[in-house]
Amino acid sequence: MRVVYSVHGKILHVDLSSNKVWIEKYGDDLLSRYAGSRGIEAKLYWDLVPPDAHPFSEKNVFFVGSGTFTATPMPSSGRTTVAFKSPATGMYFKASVGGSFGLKLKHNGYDLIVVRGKAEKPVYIYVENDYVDILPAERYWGLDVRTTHIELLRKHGYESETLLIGPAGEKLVKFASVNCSVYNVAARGGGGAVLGSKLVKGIVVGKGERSIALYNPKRFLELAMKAVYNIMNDEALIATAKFGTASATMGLDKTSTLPVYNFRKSYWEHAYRNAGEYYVEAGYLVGRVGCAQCIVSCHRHTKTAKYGGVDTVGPEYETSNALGGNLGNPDTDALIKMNDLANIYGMDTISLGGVLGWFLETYEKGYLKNVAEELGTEPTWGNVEALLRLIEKIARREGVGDLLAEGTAVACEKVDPETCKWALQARGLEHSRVETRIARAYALAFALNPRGPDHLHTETFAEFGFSEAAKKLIKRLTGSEENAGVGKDTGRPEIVVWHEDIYAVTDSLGLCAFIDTAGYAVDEFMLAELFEAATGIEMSAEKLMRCGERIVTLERIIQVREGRTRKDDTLPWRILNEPITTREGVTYKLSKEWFDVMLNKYFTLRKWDTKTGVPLPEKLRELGLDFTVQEALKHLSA
Amino acid sequence: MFSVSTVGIKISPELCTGCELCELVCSTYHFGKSSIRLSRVIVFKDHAGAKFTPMLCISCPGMPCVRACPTGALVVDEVTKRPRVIVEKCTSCGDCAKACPYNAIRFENYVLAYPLICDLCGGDPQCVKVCWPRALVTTSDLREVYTSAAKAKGLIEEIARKYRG
Repeated sequence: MRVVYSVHGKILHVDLSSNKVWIEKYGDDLLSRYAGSRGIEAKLYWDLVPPDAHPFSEKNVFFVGSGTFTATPMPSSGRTTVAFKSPATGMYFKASVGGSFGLKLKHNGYDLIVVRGKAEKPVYIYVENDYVDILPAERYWGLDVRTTHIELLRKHGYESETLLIGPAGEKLVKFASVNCSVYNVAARGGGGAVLGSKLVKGIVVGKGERSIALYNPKRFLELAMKAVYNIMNDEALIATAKFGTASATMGLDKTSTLPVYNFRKSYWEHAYRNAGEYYVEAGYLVGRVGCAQCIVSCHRHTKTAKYGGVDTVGPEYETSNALGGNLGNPDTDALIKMNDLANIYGMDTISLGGVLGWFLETYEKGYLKNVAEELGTEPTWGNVEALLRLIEKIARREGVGDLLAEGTAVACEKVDPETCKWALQARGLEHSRVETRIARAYALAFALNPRGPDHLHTETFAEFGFSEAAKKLIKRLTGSEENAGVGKDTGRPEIVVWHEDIYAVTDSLGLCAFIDTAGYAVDEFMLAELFEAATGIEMSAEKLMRCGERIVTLERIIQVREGRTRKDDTLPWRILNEPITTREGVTYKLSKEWFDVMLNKYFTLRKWDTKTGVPLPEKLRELGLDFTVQEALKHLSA
Repeated sequence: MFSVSTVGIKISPELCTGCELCELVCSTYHFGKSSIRLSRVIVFKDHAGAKFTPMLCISCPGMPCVRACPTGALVVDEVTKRPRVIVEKCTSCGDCAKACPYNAIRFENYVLAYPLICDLCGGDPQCVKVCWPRALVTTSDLREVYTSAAKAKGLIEEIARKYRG
């Protein structure tokens, strides 16, 4: 083990059951193989979380780690990765989050925190340099995220930073989120419920006095400055900076890839009400908000005087669509209010939109008719009053909210298995807001994603070929620019493999995926140079992408150990069985045959077994994942 | 490059997104180490209210920090006309930071034994270079520098009130 730079080489373990705290040290052994947070967390997960652990048991472990470039002058690299066994999917789950938590964690001298065991009563973890404590949190239990953040900063100083759960996490809502710096959310998979089950309100890091040493600071700063320049000149990032992530809405509407009304339509006459351009034009935008180190600052500070007055951050594209068009809701003021409620109660807006979309359709089709009485109004498409009440009820698990808090997969089975046909979920996770019947690389990526049908694991935005840079990338990956475009279905496995690998690296370094997979300000060659200048570990683009492959493969074998098979590599029923028609009248349908061909090709590229989806032993050995070979053999022979 | 004696940095709190890249670039440029605690530009943040502002020495008239220094460790630089620390003379008392009406002096003696005051990087301020939101821009209109800093000062006081325990 050699000492490395840019990270502290320190993992803080906090065991709530035994009330013990200790530090584990690491160096180039882990960093050169796993690149940073996400990779290291996957390795620790393999070591620490037994396959039979219930997500809410004390055997589950919650990991939080800052990226390798976090707290360095590299722009847009302040992201933190959390990992845990998800109560929604019952399997390994990772989520990346912005905000300043990772930055402050590193200022306190740690790269990762591992939260193990279970507390007896509500607590929060306080970390300030060498001082680590488990403190009582009874007085914060039940408080929303915003209030808790302010209270805790009043206590520990305003330069502290928080990672918190809201009331939804405490109530074990299956899609409860983990919020950093209040409005930055590790939303998906129910990480908030995992912390809630451990009776942990959150983690507070003090202002911190440790600085981050760089191997070659001069070279690193040079490269960082180049990245700054590239970001400022990237077409996609300029739009994102100006109009936020919701700047995507109109492009998707135009190409009929904007899923609305629970994925029954792919374009919408009111799409502009969910567009970033509209938020600016109609005066909702107060200012921009940046995650740590991010000059793009795509978050929106928004305000409305309606609905009792709201002053908040968001909504993002996914939220705008999930709680807007998806529910037939063109009321932007209500959308801002709903986004704020989800934020402060600590809930994932994508899953929230998914479960509400399922509920509205279920009600429309004649089920759960008594809910109208409970809500005092008919839960119909776009009925904002009903929707706002439902969000409150879900967060508190009251009445029908208790059913919906279980997530779409469980709720539909409880009501009537027939309703699962319009439950837009696979493997327990609600589908992200992109039309996968048309966007075929997304379709393949969503089916393979260890999280579920979700975009924040493999962002294959390039497949649309919206920009010259995207077209160039598709040519590099598949050999032809012809493969870029809306509705194209060739070369998808190659596109997915590269995007999975670079995304794993991106997360591990703390970089935002917008910088290298939606905008193209940096590529793997530049990242390798940066990695070398930062850490002192010799690195090439090939070696770095190899780290990505290693992480993706390790995550797969982790899930194989937890019971995943090729059968799970699938998409929601509606996506696979119902066609979608564009505005121009073109109909798209995913055929099972196409899907199987693509999966086979993907498994062949990965050197994973085509029959079972288990990584082959020779691949595992090649990647230095020898410790997983035994497990692979068990499932290959089964 | 410009002459630091005639130009300053204008602060626009309404444009600051709280990303703190300026701080990390500042510290790496000056110390070869990355830390917001080693930065001469200070970002004040209210995440709950989504309000942020950077602050740095604007070399204000009268220079109360220089007058407050009991040991003569803080002087007005002859070339730049900005406060400069003579490290050997500094006793880490912190009076200069207390005297600064703008909260623009970083003095945290557990990290560094002397105060950090913006030197405009000798005429090529790195923070301005990376601030794409343009919350920090160079200007030759010194009145603009003072009025913008007064606005930032107001926000800093507001944030302090909000989070006072």
